[in-house]
Amino acid sequence: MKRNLLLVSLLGCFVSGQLDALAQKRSSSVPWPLLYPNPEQPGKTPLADMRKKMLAHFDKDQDGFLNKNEREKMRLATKMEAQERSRRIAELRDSERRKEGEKEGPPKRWLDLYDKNKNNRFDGNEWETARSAETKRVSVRYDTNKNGTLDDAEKKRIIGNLSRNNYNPYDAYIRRSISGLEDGKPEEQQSRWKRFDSDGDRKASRDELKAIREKEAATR
Amino acid sequence: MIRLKTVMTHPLLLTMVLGLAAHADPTIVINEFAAINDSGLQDEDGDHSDWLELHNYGEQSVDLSGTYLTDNRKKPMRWKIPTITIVPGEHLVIFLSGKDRADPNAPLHANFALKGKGEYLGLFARDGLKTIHEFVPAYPRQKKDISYGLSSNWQKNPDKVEQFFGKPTPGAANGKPIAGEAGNVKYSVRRGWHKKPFQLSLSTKTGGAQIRYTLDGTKPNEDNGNLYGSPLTIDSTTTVRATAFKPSFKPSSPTTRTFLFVNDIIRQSPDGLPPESFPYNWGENKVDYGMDSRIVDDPRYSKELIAGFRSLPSFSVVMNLDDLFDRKSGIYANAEWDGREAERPCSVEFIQPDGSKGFQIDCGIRIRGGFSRRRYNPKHSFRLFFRDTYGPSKLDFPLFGNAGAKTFDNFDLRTFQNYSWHIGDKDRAIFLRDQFNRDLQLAMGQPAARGEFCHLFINGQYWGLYNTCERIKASFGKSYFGGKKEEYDSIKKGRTYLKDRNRSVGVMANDGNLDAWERLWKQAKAGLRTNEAYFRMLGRNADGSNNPEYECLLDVDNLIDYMLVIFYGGNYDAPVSAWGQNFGPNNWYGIRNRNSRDGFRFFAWDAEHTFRDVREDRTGPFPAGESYSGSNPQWIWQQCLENEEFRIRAGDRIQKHFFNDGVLTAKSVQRRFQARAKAIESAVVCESARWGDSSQTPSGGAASRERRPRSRDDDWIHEINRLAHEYFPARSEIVLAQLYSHGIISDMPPPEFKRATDNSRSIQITSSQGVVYYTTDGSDPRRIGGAVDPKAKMHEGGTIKLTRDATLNTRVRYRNEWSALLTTDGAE
Repeated sequence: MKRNLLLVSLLGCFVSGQLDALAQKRSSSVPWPLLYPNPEQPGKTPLADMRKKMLAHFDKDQDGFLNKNEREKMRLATKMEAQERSRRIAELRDSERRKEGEKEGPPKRWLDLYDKNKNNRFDGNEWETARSAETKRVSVRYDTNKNGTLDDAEKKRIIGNLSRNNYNPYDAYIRRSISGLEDGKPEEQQSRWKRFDSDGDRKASRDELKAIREKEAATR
Repeated sequence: MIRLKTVMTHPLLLTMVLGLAAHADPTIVINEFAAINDSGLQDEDGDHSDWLELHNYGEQSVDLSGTYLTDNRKKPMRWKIPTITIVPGEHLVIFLSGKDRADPNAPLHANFALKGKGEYLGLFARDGLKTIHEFVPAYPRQKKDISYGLSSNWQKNPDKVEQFFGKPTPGAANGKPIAGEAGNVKYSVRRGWHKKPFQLSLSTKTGGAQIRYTLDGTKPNEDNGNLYGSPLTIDSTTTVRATAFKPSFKPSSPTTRTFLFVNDIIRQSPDGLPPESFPYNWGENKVDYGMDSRIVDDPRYSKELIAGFRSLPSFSVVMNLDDLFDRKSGIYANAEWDGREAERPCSVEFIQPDGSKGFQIDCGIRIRGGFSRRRYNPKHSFRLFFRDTYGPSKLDFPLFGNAGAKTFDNFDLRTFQNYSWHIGDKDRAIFLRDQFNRDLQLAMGQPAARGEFCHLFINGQYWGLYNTCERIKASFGKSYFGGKKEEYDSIKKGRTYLKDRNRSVGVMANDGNLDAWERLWKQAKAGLRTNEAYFRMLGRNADGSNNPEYECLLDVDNLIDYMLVIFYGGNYDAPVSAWGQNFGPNNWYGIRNRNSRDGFRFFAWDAEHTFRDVREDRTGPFPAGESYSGSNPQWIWQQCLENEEFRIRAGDRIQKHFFNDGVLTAKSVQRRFQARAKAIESAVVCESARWGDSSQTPSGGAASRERRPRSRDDDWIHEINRLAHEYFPARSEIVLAQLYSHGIISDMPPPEFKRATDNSRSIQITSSQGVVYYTTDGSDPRRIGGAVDPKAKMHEGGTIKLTRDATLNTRVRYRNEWSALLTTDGAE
């Protein structure tokens, strides 16, 4: 039976190239994604039903036919309705952003270090530079045994600090990525094979695989 | 190609080959050059630029100022050498990098680079007419990190003038030439699928050469690989890479061959442990190996699983596994890496299931994708690049059949992310969404990124069901629309920093530049209500007639058809993203040739979030695109909707595609979809064995402790059936209802045709009201502005007989309103 990593449910962040998307909380009242079922309850003849509905509103001369002018009024009404929907969503987003206050946008320390063109966002190579530098900085800080990698205990400390401290979304993202929390629990398989990797090359040799399988068969 | 024997006996020919002018000339030769400099000499920027070396073999200094280097005999004055003197015996290196630096006190760089496949190279005198030295008609195909030039005793030994040098010596006398190149290793058995074990013999035509081979994907060299002595027994899935070596010879190019045995593929790593010599982990990336025996041994699937492997072609990627999985350097282990630095060499074979002609090519491989690069995704997509650094600079193969391109600079091996069994919404995994959107676009008569389904193997390990996909780059434009690559702008959602405006925008030029796209957006922003503005954008006068003074920025039929595919699919992540509440764009490509009368064309791309809720309305309008930074084709469509002529044109395209068995009618979509589903239904069993358990589902209810892998009959088929029997039957009319509210669909029904069944191309036309007007020369019976076109005829009853090359266009006119255009050529 194949064994796979367990997936930890995502923290609800979806990166679409913009860090503010990462910072969105799913408790937001702004729909995500914003979908629009239209019609709400389609019958068997949705086109005929739509026509009937529109004729009722826009067929001013009641000839059962929307002429050019009547069609234009219908088009503009549809457009205005969609624009009104967007306006309401924009208001909701702005309102939530105002409430978020300083938590929105990159923190000052990050901007000072990595926003080279001073436009209060990370574009071009800035985000990759920021991410790499911060990943390195935090990794070095938590690598208490100075062996160049973060072992399970060190990652556990990062995860512990994540739950205790109120990091801004950028610093939290770096810590989640380093600890593997963002993408799931640290590999279960690491503990499974580590002691069998007799030559330390991290690759499965025939003898190592035989030893693992014999051990697992014995414990079943 | 001039044979050396002929050259030796013909002094004039000898002179030509040496490329030396007949009368007294500078004693300068192009002594050596490197056209594929991958890891040798670096220029002052740290780049491995092409280079050549000029040598003064005379006894006097030579003033080179005003002489020229060129790679094109028709353009002898391509790059002028600055004021520089070369003393007797000196070897002067000039980089052929395209950087165009002519400071005599700094390293020199010509304004062109060399082609690895071979081309002309010449040094011309100041008059631009006389050659001083040239490689004519062309130097031969070059090899990576091997230089080419004159033997050190070329003046005394004219029969061995031009040589390859295994150790390039820029700036110094040439070393010992390679005596030749060892012949490529031949295999006694063809690549591909085999049933029984066999003996594999390796051979080379070069006498005295040794063959070294590897079975682990690495390239053999003098320190790596097994020495071949006797035929190998091949009794299971094996990848062999072999190279021939002989002292003083350049080693042969490694050749690769994959041998597939289905009976051992289905038993690969059933317990999830790595295959032998594969790594235990993939850096921080989630690991997933092996074929799930619960699928393999399931009696529902066991036979079909085997047939499934042979139901589609296969790609076999063979490479150094460290290049993929090493935690510090592997691109799979670090899937977020992108760009040239994240490209690794590999061999790719294309194996047809019926044994017909495939190919093998050495190329570069990168990870492909955006969202899919995350570490919790164990199944990544790939992008292949063909460069002379690795092998041929193009793939010459009709990968998409005769209708598709036959030459590629690159293509994608994509996999299914958002709706898949390895990540994403597993209940909706059908693997067809993106490809089907592209199919619809093609079926509507528009260009699209072609693709087909295939299996992928990595070093002999089955890696699942994949989908090839063309990339919408300049090379795509050249293949399908003509012209030159450098003439194309390929635009997509991305991020560009505009230095002149000190800001960044969310749109980028994949190839070319953003200028024309920005002009299109600005014209649309200024308003398209008037015919002057709308037709100007199309390169026409207000009456619709062509105006060669105006550039054409938009292919309007392409835009309409592209948007109809978007609306039909209910695409909520392209070209405007519902994930961003429709304030931002995503997943779109546009392409245009700056030097043609074609406007921008748009392409369905990463169309995964489609065919979900049958009621989904993506007709907008949406705010994305109000600012240039968020510009996208849907916003262009929205601006175009302000113009009546555009709405009429859109109505015509809707009539074409949504009625009379058009591409977007229920039956037509169902037919096409079910054909695609049928083509992969066996292969899906293979995918479920490989990836179905990547995220297992409770069976017997959520509380059940029994877990089962996702499978075709328990999962895939339900979503297929939902689409085939619920979604597609209902979707067309729902989209028509949505479009109706935008005033695009006339209440005036078009005429009806009744075609004769006797091949006479006679057509009866009827209409419930109004007057039918028609033309047979392909023109529209309606003039721009709404009047009847003078060429249109009024139909007064009876049949119309069409000639073989005629097209019937008809509309109904009633109370000064026109119906949509109906078109036929008379054939059944």
